[in-house]
Amino acid sequence: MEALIDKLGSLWPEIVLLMGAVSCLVTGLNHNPLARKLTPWVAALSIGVASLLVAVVPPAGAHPLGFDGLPGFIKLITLGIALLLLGLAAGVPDALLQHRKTESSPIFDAGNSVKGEFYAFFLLSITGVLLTAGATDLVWLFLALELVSLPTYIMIAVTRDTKLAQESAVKYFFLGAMSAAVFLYGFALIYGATGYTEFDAIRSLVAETGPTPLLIVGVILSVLGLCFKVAAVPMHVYAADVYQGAATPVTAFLAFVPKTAGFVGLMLILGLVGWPLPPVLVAMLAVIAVLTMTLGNVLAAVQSNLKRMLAYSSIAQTGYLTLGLIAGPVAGAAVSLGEGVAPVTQPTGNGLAAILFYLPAYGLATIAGFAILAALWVDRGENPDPDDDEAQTFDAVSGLWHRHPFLAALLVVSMLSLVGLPPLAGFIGKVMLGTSIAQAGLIPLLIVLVINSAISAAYYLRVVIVCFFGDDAEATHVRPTPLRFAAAMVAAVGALALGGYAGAPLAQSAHEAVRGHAVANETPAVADASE
Amino acid sequence: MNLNVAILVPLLPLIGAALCAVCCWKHAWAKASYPICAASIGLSFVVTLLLTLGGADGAVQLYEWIGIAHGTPADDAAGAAASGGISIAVRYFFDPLTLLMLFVVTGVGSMIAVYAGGYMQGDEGFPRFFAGVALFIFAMTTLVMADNLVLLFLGWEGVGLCSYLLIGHYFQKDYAVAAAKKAFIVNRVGDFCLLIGLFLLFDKYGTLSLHGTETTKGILQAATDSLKATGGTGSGDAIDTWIPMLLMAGAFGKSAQFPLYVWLPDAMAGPTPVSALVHAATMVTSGVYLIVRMLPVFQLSPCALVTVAAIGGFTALLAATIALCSNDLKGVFAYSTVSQLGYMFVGVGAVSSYGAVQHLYTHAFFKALLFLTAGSVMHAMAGQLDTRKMSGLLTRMPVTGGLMFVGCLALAGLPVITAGFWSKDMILADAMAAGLNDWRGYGWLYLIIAWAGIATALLTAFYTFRLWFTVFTGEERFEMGDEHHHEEHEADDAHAEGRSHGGLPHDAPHEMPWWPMNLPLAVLAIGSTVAGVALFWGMGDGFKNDHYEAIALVEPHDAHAHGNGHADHAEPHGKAGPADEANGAGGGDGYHGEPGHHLHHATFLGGDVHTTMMYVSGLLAIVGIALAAYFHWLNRGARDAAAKAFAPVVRVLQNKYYVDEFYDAVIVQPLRLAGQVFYLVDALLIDGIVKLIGWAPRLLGTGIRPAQSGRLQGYGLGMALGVALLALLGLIVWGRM
Repeated sequence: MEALIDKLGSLWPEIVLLMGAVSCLVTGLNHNPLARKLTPWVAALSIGVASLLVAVVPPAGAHPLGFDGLPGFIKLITLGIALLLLGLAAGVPDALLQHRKTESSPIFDAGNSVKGEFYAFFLLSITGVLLTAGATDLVWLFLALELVSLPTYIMIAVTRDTKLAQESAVKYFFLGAMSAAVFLYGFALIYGATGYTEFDAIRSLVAETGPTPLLIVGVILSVLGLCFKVAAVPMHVYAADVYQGAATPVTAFLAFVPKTAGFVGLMLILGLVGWPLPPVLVAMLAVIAVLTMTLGNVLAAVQSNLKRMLAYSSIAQTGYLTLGLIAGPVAGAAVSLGEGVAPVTQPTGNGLAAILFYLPAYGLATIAGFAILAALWVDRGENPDPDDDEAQTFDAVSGLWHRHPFLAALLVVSMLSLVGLPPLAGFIGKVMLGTSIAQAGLIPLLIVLVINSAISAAYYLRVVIVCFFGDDAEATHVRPTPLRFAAAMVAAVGALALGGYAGAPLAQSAHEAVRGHAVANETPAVADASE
Repeated sequence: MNLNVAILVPLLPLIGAALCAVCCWKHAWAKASYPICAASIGLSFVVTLLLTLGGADGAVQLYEWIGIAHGTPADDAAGAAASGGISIAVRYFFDPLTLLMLFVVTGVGSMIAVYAGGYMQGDEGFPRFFAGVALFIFAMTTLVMADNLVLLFLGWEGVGLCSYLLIGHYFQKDYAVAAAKKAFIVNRVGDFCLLIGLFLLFDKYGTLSLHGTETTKGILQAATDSLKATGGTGSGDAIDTWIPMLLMAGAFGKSAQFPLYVWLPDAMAGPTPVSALVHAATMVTSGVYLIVRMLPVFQLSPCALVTVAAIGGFTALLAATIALCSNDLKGVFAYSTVSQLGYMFVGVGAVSSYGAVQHLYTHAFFKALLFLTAGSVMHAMAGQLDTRKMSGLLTRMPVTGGLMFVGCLALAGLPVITAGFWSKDMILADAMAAGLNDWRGYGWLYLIIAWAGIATALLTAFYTFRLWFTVFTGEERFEMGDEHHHEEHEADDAHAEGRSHGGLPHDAPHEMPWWPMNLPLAVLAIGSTVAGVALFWGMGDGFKNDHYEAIALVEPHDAHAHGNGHADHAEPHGKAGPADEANGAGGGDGYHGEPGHHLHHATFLGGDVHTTMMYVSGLLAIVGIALAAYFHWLNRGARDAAAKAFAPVVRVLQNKYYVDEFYDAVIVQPLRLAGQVFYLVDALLIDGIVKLIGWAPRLLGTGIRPAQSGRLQGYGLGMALGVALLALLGLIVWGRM
């Protein structure tokens, strides 16, 4: 128990977010209109303070699995992207018909407003990611992962007053509960195999005895359960329905936040066994990766609904990311940069570093794409329904370039980064993933990655073609939401920057964040070789 | 001097380009683009000057774009090659050559940008034009500063793109669109070769960095080392010949040499400042720069340099003969640009990179001047370009006429006082010396090249002044063009006080205003005189030393025994007088004992080759000018008689040797036919297959879709089944272990 007390000191960012969540509840349901108006700013403030704390407060010390920089890295990119997501999501509850009614009526009926809940749950889910990144214990990891998902079920349900949204929230909840059961079962088996829930104890036991069959089974079930969070085969089935049903800003949230938490969870669970993974895990992950990216791309190619297309594209991206899990971390040999400069190791071949790089790269591109969709609305003519005016289809962005060249340009940047064209972030990310899998000697997987990238180009570029050469969509209009434009712009600029000058430093720090695991691993490897 | 300042050189024009692009947004902002563009290039020039004065030397790295180490870490180029790693860094390198190029690009560039403000007034695409110009300067400076060939290639493609955009500035006109496409497609051929060349370079040297870092060896050093090992005659490896040949093809595309020169004359469809900046002074010289930069790689091959020189010499002569009979004001200068670029390649090919860069430098000034004055004439004549329709304009446009006269003198190479004389003379003398010394056994070819160059010098003087005398002397006669370009902007400026147009009838040519048009031209005119070449001698000292080091690697070791040893040529050299004291021609006496000197000294017609060549080319220039004066000024009847006598020749020349027709028949039409065939194949066969393949995922998709029915139970079952199947798979793998 002393562990938890010690940990509290390193949990200040999470505590600040929780405080922010509570404050949002208070201000969001306040009968003072000004306080209600300030709610998103309260959320933004708490995210800002939390990221400042992450940057300032020193890490808790050595990570039990050697991922010394992982918590800090994940926390920073999550908070940064959360700020963009907030920019995207601000205004979502205000747009609801029932909220507008109660706002315009003389007496504010808090029961009809979801403003407080929405931002509070937003912050709670982000807190979950932060806690996941800092997890050092199976129980903690489980609770943190659930804290990521539970608020999202509610966020889906409350932010769009349509049947579709309710339906997708319920689906997401039940399937999420089922997946949680699967990985909790896995955790239980890991506990059963080792007798510990703490990572460092499990790790040292595995280092002594090697992975036992029971432990492997536990890891397999945990991985399969976590596939739900990252939307990988076989747990991907919910993605399209849920992404389509949720309000677009919430969809952007779903595309990034649970996925990040899921990949962190996967890294930690696989880190218990250590790389190189046992063949059975390699085989399973390879099958998952290949199926996920192929299925995602093939199904994305046949969509006419842009949100569904992006949902399947998000599944395909998960497939690419899974490759990094197979490759795992490498310590990298030191390269000297000349006299007086400390030697550095290059991130080349480090699969986990590739994941850590690819996550924000993917996040930025996806957010830019969803932000453009969220900034548009479609006039459906007779019986207009403010709760169902979302721009969802290819037709909605048709000819966007002629009407709103700025938005179209951002959408194009987003799509090109998702394809992985230089000089955008997606390119560098794919190069890192590809080199890591090549270095691991799994060339067939690299070939699958390249073929899938080619398939994906077809549907991503279709968006570009429609934008530039389609007939003007007369019914599509732009919402006056400067924050969404700003979020899209920042995301697009970020994608450009990560593809250019900021790419190398981020890759380097991603590498530094996880290379400790491989260094710790090297000693037994050397011992093996000498036998 | 902090080298980090150097980042500003490309950065300022980039910012300028972005701001100009923003100016396209609103009509009211359009006017602001001109000062933004001119200021950004001008500031970039100031930074270049600071760097030059500070003697910038070394590299500055912005960031490493892609770094892939493979297997063992690479401690040096050999290690990197063995491991298959690659590092692509955005890294700028400064040496005297870079600084000279930057000086030309930003210096001449800022003059032209200032001029363009006047020229482009009233144009619809005013901000678009300046965005293009600023972007061009960004790409061009990147090209010459790049330390990595990938970065250089990006700059290379960047200038190609800007050239395409600027040629197609008047995109409503079919000929401009066609010219832009032609330029782009012809350049594709060269760029493709260049790209293959880069692949081969990487294959051989394992790096694409030119100068390497503290710990790794760059391509240039590696090539120099292997040159030292193989000796002056170069290596016999096939790859060492393939690489320079491919790079050369790339350079010939960009620098408009035979057989890829056909795009440059058409490129004159762009606004005249673009012709001056992109298609005369800077971009087209980037091929010359590439070869000078990669000289060690070229020296490794026994035959690459002589090929460069031979094609350069051939192109110089070919283009000069075409220019002889062209009646298009800008066309003459376009072909003369092709011809002068040929000279530069002769220079590089004769290992006279100092001479080549010197000519590049002076040519930038006088050719920009010529184009801009031609632009003034065109502007004044409402777009008229046909020289047959203008005559005796000197009284109407005295300043323009005078400025063009200075430019023409420099192009013709009038002895001593013009810049063109010094630089051209050095190239010809060095080529002749390489021939007389029988360098690498290709002496006969170098002799032919040198004589071709001498013949070209005569033609150049003649066609240049043919043009000037036709346009500016004789009785006053003019036929205005059909572009109401300047009337428009006059209307635009109706409120501005009189300007230059005041008082003159609208349908008569008028002089350009001093600001912003004639003043920058005056600066360029000064650069076209001996003052310009003197400036180069002042700036180029460091480059000259590099140049001698490069020559020393390949000069024949038995040069002393060649009958033109030291004792011999010390004397004629002394007589060269002001030429050598200005240390332009031969490098000065002080270098005699130094290496890197023997290749370019020989006895020619009884004197030192540089001295003799000075007399010969000077004489030819004067003869050419005199002939032009006789035929086109004093006795125009004789001109017509001569034209009649040589009618068939004139016809061939006026049709540019039917090269365009030949290309059309041999390349374009077959390609078009093939395109149609391919289109049919594509439409019927490939599309069929693709549709079939396209059906597969669709079928698969629709096959899977029922699974995506949206029913919760179905999803739950699917997930459970998936888990079970994957667990089963795990079991199978486990069993096989």
